[in-house]
Amino acid sequence: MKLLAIVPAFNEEGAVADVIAEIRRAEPDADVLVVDDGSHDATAEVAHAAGARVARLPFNLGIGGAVQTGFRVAWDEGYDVAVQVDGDGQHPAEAIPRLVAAIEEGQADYVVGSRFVEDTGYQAPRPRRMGMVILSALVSRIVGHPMTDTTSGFRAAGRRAIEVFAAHYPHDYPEVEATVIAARGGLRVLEVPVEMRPRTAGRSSINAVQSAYYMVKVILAVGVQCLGRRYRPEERPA
Amino acid sequence: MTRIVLVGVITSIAFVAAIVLLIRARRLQERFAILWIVTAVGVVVLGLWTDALDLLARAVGIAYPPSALFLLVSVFVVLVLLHTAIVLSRLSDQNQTLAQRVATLDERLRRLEGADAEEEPNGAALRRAPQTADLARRRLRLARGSRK
Repeated sequence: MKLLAIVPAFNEEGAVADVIAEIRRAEPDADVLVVDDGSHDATAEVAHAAGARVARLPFNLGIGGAVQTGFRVAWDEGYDVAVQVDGDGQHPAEAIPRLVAAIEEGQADYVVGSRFVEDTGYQAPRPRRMGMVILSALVSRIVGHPMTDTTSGFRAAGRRAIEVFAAHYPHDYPEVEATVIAARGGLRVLEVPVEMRPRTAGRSSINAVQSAYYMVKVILAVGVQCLGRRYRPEERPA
Repeated sequence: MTRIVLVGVITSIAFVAAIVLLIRARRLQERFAILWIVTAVGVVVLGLWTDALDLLARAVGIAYPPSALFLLVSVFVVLVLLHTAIVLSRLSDQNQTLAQRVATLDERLRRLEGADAEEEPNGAALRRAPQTADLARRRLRLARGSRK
């Protein structure tokens, strides 16, 4: 099985080397592709020195455009599974084998590493928690079974999901919308519990005003997805 | 011909001239220019044929004919804005695809060149380099020539 770890990174020179090393430790056979989303610092050089493949975007596309770059590589080069790990170090690489296993065993096409399925010790501030509940209800309805953590960016995609996302992936704040695209395209979506950590370097890219904008934008985007066409993969289920 | 009609006609002719100049300078593509030429001609017609506005207002049921003009202009402006938003969306999509393509091709090129440098005996990559550069220059010249 060919596994590609996609690491979107924007100004993460302080954390990206550790992330690459952890992925290596968890999945020694995986290829690591760092997508440098137009960083102003030495992210690309640090990642290259750490032994990762580095795709340098000529300017900042946002997380969606960066992750999709990885899916395009995964599709073109015939990877069976692509796992998406943030370059800031908050995703626990040691959980990658569990996400990948769910796809390998044929349980799902798209796996979300979730902070809430079991008690994983994650506590979000109250307004954000409310937003998460609303999104969870919305996504659960569309997917057809309960989805507790809709905003986690720690995910694994099988061949069929890679196919869909290489062609259609949301632009900014892509997590919720990507799940909806997958479910509407007939892909099987699954949640797997993982324990996340605080960031090792850099800061969260979302503040209070952006959180409100986030909710409005994401709900609108989900609405638009539900009105639009479905993107079904041509690849047969494994 | 009243003074106001004269002013209107002169203004709209200046508008047409400006558009023709922009097209000549390649600052405006023909497919966008068509819209603006039609607009300019419409303005000239409305300026010369003063009864047109009254006829239009009566047909649609507008009591005060000049309002018909404002309505016409607002509808037109909204349509033009919508058109530019559509064009802009498509361009930004294409721009993103190109950026991703550049990033993945660049990664592949660096990887292949890196592998060459490591595997080959000393100097082999260097000896081949001028040839490659030469080819690149020739392609560039061809590309430039075809644009003229």
